[in-house]
Amino acid sequence: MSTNIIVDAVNVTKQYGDFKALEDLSLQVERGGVWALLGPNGAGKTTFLKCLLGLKQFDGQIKIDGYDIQKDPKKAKYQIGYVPQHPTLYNDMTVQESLRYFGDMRDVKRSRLRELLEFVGLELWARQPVGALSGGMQQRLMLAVALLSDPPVLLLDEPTANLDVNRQVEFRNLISLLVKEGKTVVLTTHLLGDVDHIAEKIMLLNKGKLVIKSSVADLFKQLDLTSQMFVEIPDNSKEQDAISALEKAGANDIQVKGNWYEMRIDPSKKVSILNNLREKSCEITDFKIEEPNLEDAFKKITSGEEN
Amino acid sequence: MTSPFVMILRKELKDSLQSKWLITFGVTFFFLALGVPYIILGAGGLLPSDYPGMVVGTLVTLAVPLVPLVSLAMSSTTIAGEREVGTMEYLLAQPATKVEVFFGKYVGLVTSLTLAMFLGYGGAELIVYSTNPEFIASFLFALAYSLLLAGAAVGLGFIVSVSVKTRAAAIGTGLFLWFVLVVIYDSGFLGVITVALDADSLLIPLTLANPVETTRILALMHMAESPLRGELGPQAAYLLQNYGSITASRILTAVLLLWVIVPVAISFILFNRQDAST
Repeated sequence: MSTNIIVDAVNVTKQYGDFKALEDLSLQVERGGVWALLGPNGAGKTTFLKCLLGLKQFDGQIKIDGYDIQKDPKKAKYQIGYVPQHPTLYNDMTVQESLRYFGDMRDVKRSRLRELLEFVGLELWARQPVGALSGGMQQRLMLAVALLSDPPVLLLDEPTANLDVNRQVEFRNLISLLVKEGKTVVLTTHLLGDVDHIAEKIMLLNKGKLVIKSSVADLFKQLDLTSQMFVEIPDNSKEQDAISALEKAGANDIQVKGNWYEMRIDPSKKVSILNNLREKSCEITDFKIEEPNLEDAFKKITSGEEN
Repeated sequence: MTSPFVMILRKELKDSLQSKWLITFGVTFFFLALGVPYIILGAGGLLPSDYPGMVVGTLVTLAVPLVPLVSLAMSSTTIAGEREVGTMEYLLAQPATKVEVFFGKYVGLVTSLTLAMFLGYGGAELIVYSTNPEFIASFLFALAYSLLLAGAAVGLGFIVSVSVKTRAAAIGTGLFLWFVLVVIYDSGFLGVITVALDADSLLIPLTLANPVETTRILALMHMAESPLRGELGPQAAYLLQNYGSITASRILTAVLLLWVIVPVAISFILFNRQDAST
């Protein structure tokens, strides 16, 4: 199957008693790249991920690379590599035995096991029991197991939540390599830093519904998010000129705090602001810009939903 | 490609055979089957010729509480334990169906118990019955019924295992179930109820409602030559009197087979209906 849609969810509803964890959720994931599944706690992102894996029963339909996860679970699951939030391999098995155990279920050649051990940097630990590995190593081993049958889709549940900063960087680098090989990575995360660093596209869930599906750049445009700009002009006699220059360049919410002028601007108008101030002979001694981030976007979307 | 069923069965078998429960069980069984008195009497050259007949009755009396104990202890934790640590969810995220996972574990566990009993019983059997092969049939019956009892207890353990969330709750519930089936029933429970209600007719249904009692009576009924034959108890006497030994034996065997099939079917239905992920 090689259509451009690799994950196709149609009208997915998951209900616990009266509570709808997912409500009539439809979304498509195109082949390739890193897709972040975002949302506040209880938004339904982990529930959706587990529906994708066939771990939860639901109403509606999900196809993974063309295979229905409920009607043809074996073939559908064969297309997926899964890395859960917490390492869940058998602690008494060695690294090598774990790869063999799950590899045999997926008809994987022994040479592939060696390749993967090298890819995740665990070749020296092959004979160690899984329980003796550090958290970061176990996470890398989970990634190796997920890659055994070279599946086109990787589902990662909060993959860096339990890793220290260095291990997070290592893990993100591995993910980047896989994306270059053409894999589609869908990850849930509450760490927006993860998204800023590795995801190009986001799917935002709130209250079990898809709120936004977009690239990160498009999201900022859609939400009309502004940058915060700070400019230092020591000459107080130029205050009126400076304010009129800033207004003319499109700055909003201008506030003067001592020598500093604080304002909200369209991210594309930074240079014209500085040019306008120079034309009015306002000497700038310093400036800084805070670009919009996903946290702002997230707040704006979820507050909009609340209202 | 090795089927996930085979992979899971192999792992369950390996884990069970390494478990302390099963090793203790196998060794205990060996010595029960062999009979410590056999060693002492045999060493002194004082072994009576009907010794195997004597020991087989004792063996059933001792095996009946032991078989469900180890079967329930091991089976009640098998799914609950994996669920608690997340390995069950991970296993079900692989290209394996619930049927393969469930029955891989069930068959693996039953096979390991069967092996332990064969080695325990069988090893001792070879030694003891080489002296007198006359009682071999009784011995084989005892072994067969013990295996059926193990199957029934594993099924009951699986119901516990799919119904509770933690390993601790599973083993607690499994041992409580053993306590009810073995200790409470054996402590005059049936007699108290039938006398209190003045209803002898309840004796048989209450007996059949317990696979341990069913096995015990069935096994002892087959030991016609055993010197312990007189200890059958009121239920067996009632059955023999009303149905004759062949029909009574068939009824008990059918009930015991139902005890093997029904609990495993119920536990699978429960397992299949549940979300694989909490």
